[in-house]
Amino acid sequence: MRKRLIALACLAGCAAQPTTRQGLVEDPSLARTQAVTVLSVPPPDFVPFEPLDDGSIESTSTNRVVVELPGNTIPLSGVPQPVATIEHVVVLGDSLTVTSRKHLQRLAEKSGYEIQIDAVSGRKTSAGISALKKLEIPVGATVVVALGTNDSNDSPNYRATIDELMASVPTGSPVVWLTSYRKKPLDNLARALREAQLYHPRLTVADWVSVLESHKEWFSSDNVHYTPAGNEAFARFVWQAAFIAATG
Amino acid sequence: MVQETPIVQVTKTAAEKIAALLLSEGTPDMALRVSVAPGGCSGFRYEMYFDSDFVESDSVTESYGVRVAIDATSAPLLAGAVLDYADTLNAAGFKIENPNANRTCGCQKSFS
Repeated sequence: MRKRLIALACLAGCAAQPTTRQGLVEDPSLARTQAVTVLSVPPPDFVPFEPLDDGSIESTSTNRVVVELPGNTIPLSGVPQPVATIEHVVVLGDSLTVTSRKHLQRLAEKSGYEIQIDAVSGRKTSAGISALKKLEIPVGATVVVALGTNDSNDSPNYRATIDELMASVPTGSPVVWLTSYRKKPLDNLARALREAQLYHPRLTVADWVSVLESHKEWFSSDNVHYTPAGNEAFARFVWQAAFIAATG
Repeated sequence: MVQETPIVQVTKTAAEKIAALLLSEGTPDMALRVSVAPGGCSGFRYEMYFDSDFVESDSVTESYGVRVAIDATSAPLLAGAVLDYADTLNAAGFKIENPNANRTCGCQKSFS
């Protein structure tokens, strides 16, 4: 599957003459509002090329182009969070993390990050918090919470649960908490998480459910666990969310 | 299909931005495809988009957990290029520094 064209780049000379193509517009003022890609225009004194005798143009050392992409909009909601001070990620999870473990380890290792995965099948969030309290988490590490699948969606104590978990994470560590799905979205958890962002500035909600709803093929027959492709996609989502939080 | 040696180096900053875009699109499983396509009056231009359709001859590499796919035709034209992301007062966006592109035609839309 090919996703929409997100960028079109050429050498610096092209930047002054934006090219219209699928998904692109020529009016830079539309770039942000329509979230489409526009080649940015260099400043007036920008001279990237020198003409040659044959009429062609020799590029200078500035052999580059700036392409503006729709950024700053990711399904990680919340106020700016503290940036992790070390390249260390802790993932707290249940069976979904267990089956994605090898992918997570590979992604972290290839990125030069330390990763600490604590995952147990059937684990509820409350049990995850107990486990978290026993972990030695380096100050400044990024903590990812991938729990909730084994909780009841009707739990009235989500706020207390979230507060307890946040209190268990070292100060200064960003926390990424995934929304959860068990045959259907756990709406109450998602709502509680979004409310919690108001009083936990270092909490980021990563909306895995919105991704899943477009990829029902990633579910296995029990509609809870994932296929091999789903496991890898879950790992990539977790890693990408953690990586963004860890790099700020 | 994932190879060890990347044809295009992706900086950490660019990888972070690509990851954010992948999440924004709800497509954590996709790769960023960078290709060189015919363009302008006589040369080539770059294209970048998210893709999950790979063929055997594609080069797929991974940097900071984001995958970059390059087709066999584009590979020699992109070898050694660096994909970076900058956010300055003048402009914000991706930058490609390509050692293979050192001449452009008068239309300034293509390179050879």
